[in-house]
Amino acid sequence: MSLELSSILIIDDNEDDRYLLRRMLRKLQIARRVFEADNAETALELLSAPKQPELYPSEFPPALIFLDINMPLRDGFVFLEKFRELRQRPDYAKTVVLMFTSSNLSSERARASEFEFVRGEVAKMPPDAESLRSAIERAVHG
Amino acid sequence: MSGRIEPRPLKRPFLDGAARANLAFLVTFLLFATIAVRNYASHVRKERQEQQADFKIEASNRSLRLIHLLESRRALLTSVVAYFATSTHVGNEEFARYSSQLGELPLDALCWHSLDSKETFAVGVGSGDARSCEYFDHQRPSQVYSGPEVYIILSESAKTHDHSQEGHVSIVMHLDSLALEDPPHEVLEHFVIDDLSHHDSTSFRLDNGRVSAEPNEAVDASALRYPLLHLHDMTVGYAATLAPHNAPRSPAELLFSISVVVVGLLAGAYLRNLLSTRTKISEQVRLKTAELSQFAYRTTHDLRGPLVTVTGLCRAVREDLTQGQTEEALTNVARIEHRVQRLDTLVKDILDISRADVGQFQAEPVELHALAQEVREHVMSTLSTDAVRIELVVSADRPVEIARTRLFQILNNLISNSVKYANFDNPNPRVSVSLTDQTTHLDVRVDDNGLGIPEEYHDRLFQMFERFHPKVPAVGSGLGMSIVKRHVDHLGGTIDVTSSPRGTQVHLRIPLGRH
Repeated sequence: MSLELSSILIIDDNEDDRYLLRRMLRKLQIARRVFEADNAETALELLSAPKQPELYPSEFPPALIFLDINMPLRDGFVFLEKFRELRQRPDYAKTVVLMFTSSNLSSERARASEFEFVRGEVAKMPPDAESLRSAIERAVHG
Repeated sequence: MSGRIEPRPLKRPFLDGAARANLAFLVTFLLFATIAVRNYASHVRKERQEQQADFKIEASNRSLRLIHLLESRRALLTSVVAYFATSTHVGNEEFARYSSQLGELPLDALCWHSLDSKETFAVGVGSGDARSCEYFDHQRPSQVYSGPEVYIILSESAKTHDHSQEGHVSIVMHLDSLALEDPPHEVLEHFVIDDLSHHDSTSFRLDNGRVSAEPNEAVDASALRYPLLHLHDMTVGYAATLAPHNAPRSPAELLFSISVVVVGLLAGAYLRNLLSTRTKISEQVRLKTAELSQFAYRTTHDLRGPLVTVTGLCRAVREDLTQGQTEEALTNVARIEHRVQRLDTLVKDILDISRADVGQFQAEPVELHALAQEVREHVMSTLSTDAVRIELVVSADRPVEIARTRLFQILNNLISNSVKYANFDNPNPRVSVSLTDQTTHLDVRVDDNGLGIPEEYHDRLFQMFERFHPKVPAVGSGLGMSIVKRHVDHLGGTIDVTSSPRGTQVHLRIPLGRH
């Protein structure tokens, strides 16, 4: 039985990277909707806007967030800090984060992993759609 | 009447016989005593002189042998001293000079100086004065000795005590305690340094070129010991005299001992200074290395990011074409083109920032009107926009002498920033650039009514790879302001930036005519 998530949010300042991930997610048909944000602030606005559940009754809140950890001004970490507070809300209790990165900076990876809702990472160039699917499944079910 | 003549009374003698005898005895006694004392004194003096002469000859022989011994280990010493020289490689001209002369330097200059020759005290390593220490040149034995020597010795190991000689002053450097960072293996192996504190009654001998140490009650090393160097709460060297126990102690010797303390203090101060300079330089090198490695990391990251994206887009194009989706394929090709252009900008900026530091830019007569126009056209064509008005005000009656490329890059980066971070909520987004020749300096102002730089980031303004507007799509390399700063620094100018949500004002003052 294939996995179908309510929705996925991609937070990345690089629009081409968002496009490529969105394209692959669409191919996998793994989520009913894909939301996008190009910085932490927009993402937090999107997540906390009171009308969202009304607008997207079967798709909100996202079950999974792809977060580019290397955005300018340490925006990735700004998001993680704020999202930790947001996650106190019952509707976000199950939302998890996958780091979405093109670099191998272990210190940043280690720091991000300290947030209990960060469930590993996906390289920006995954070998194929299936490996992306299994990374998502591990994150959501693990 | 016959007169009676009174006999004249006999004159009383000045001294009677007994007294005369006593006086004669006393005089004779004093005479003999003086002679005896003088003889004795002369004997003692002669004995002392002989003793001292013997001592000197013996000491000079030992010194010669020590020199030979050290000579045989010249390579090792040279490598240690060379290590000192290279580990302080930047900014220390004295060391650099020394390092280049190392091959010619007489070895004895490395390790000794005669106290009574009144030459400048020389601590071997790195001192230019060390070369004047020809005094102990074993090629000229006639000048071998006229006083006690002071050795600055890099001791070899705890087991082979070749660092001290009776009757000499040794200043022992504990190389392994001098906080040498990562010394060469061979140095570590051969230079485990001992201190003198536990050789109170040990004499050091040279036998067939080998050094041995053995307990010897005739040696009193405790007479004088001065801790020479303290580093990290650890005594790493001593100045000490090792003198035969029965040797006469004259005022001259006491004076000598005091001199040793003074010399010890001087040497200690010199070495401390040497070490603190070295520490400071090491710190500078460490910071520079950290900056370089951060630069290397950020550069590779920022180069790799676009490459990963472009690879992904290429796969997408292939997929699109396979599925006959030409429209999507064309869109993706445009995306690739855009990414590659951005990558090109980044590479150019990396080149610019490197050249800002190492490039040779000669001052030349620059016509400011023409330069300003050229920069404006360059910015508009590079950023493909005319949405922001670029106003130029140039006040200069003559060409100014300045490194043209530096000024071009400064203006290009400042104006580009104003255009990239323009506030399009403003009906008239603009940047005004003024260049004023103030004879002694060039006054540059770049004012815009753009987004401004959030106050919390002002202290990071000139750091590399920083972008301060998360809501503005990343359009630059994040290197612009660091490029500006480096050029301004090289031109000897100053830069002031004020910024608010209403806009940013950059003011530069660049001295003219002395680049």
